[in-house]
Amino acid sequence: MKRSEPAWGKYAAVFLLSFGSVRQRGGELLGRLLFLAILLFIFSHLWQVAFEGSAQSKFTDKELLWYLALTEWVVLSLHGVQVEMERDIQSGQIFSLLSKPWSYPLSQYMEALGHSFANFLILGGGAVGLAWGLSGSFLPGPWTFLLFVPLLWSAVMLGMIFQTIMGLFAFWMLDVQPLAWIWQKAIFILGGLLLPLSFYPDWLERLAMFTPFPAMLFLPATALVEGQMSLALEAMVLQVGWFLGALILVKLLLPKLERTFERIGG
Amino acid sequence: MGEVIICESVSKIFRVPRTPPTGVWAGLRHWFRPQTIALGALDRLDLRVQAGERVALIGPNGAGKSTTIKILTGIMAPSSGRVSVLGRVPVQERTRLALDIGTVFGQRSQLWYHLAVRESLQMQRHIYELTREHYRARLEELCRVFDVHDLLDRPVSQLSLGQRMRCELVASLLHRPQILFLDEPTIGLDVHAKAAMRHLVLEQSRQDGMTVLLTSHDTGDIESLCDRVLIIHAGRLLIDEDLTQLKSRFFGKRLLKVTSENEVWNLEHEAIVYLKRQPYVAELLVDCNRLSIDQAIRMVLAMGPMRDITVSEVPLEEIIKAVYKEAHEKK
Repeated sequence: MKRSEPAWGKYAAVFLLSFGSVRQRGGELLGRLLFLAILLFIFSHLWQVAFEGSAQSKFTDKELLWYLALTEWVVLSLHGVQVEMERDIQSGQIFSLLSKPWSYPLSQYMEALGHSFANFLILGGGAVGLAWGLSGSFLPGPWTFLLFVPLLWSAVMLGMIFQTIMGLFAFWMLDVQPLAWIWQKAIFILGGLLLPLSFYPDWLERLAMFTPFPAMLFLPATALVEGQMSLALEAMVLQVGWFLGALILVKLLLPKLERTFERIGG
Repeated sequence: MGEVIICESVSKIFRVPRTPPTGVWAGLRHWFRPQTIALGALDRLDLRVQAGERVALIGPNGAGKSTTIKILTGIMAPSSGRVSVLGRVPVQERTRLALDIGTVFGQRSQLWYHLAVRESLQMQRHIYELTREHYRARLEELCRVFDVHDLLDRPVSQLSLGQRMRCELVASLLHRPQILFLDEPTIGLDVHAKAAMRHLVLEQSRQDGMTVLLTSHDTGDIESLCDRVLIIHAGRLLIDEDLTQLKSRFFGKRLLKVTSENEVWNLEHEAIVYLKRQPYVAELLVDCNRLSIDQAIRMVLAMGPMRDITVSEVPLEEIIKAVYKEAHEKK
């Protein structure tokens, strides 16, 4: 049969397909939005009390609220691709997926990215609206926001590639929940999900900077809140570096993991 | 094109992890250096299939049927031996080969569960890099043949198994594969759906000259679809025979399970072999090439009043056993 569509077209189609399936995930998105609203409401009050009369802090309570809204926006946008890959491998659906003319990890990544992009757009509206409403000001400034907000999306893209790698480990481990648990805790602590890393002891902040998590959360969120171009550039460079590193890791790992998978084949 | 599938002395050994030993030190040692057991799934399998042939690969569970299909589609690498499908080495050129083959893996779906069938098929168009015009024409043709026009706008999740399998086949055939691999395609289907599936695959194969490699436990699939049968057992090829020949030897037999009012069985005939002969209950293997099944039933009824009679095909396991015994005796 005559073929003319470019090979990348299938990955774009997978992205668009999963992006369009947002209709079927209304309940899930509503749940995420609700969680975000409760979290921001609690922390806005908590920080108002905690920072009352304190002029020493590196961030004001309003900046912290915006910071939290931005980091949660990224984390809540991440789609659980590793869970789906684990399910494919455990159920044997993987055989059908591997028999298709595509790269399995790339197709999974693009599908997850489509879901995440829909999450990102919807949760973005929620996060910004809530932070604006609860703090009473649009802190980053509209131009800084428009200029730096792509950094949050690239943070989601970076997070998704690491979660895809985690999913690939299901070829070897079958159950990747322990890895997912470590990943969540690492984002929480080393990424500075609730508090910026500048609040941490020096040694922990320095240690965190050797991991990909600050490039996903701390650096882009701080760049937005403080409107610092230097931080935004640092975030961008680190994101590109970690992304390339992750790609090399996939290239190296995939053949080994696929071979390991043979243990449960047959 | 001549031979489209070639397997030369293909072996496959799985390394299965041994159960972790008890005890702290033994457990730690196992963690760092896990011990494995070697399980042979295929043992020097030789197989050649010509273009346009419809071949059944049968054998008991664990015989190596699915492993063979996975190796032929490039999903798994053989441990040793040479494999060539459409002139390509499957494991090295899996993505390129996948454009020219189609697969149906039993109850695994290639359709998107939450989407309408049409959207799922549209995705297949992108995955197989088909032009819009070819896709439209082919979809129209397959919808007519498989009678799935009314299903196109329904979500896959709301289809019956039979309807879904018809849609699965449409998805597998959209790109006009040169070889169709069917791994237990009729599992779970009712009699009508099975018959429809077999008829449709056969029709497509005849029309397009498509090669079919089928694995199934259902002798009906084999009888309706294939002209050649390969029987494997413990990863080795036991029989490679024309279906008509094999049928006359094994498929031409029926199993008669009879429960009688009488305690004693005195029915004797050269075409009847007792597999079980107990007071009141017996299992008779009837060679239908020599004695028709209605004659056999009449002979049974002539013995006296009966409580129950059932007629069934000889289970595949029995055929495999017989073939295995035969192969063993030839050695």
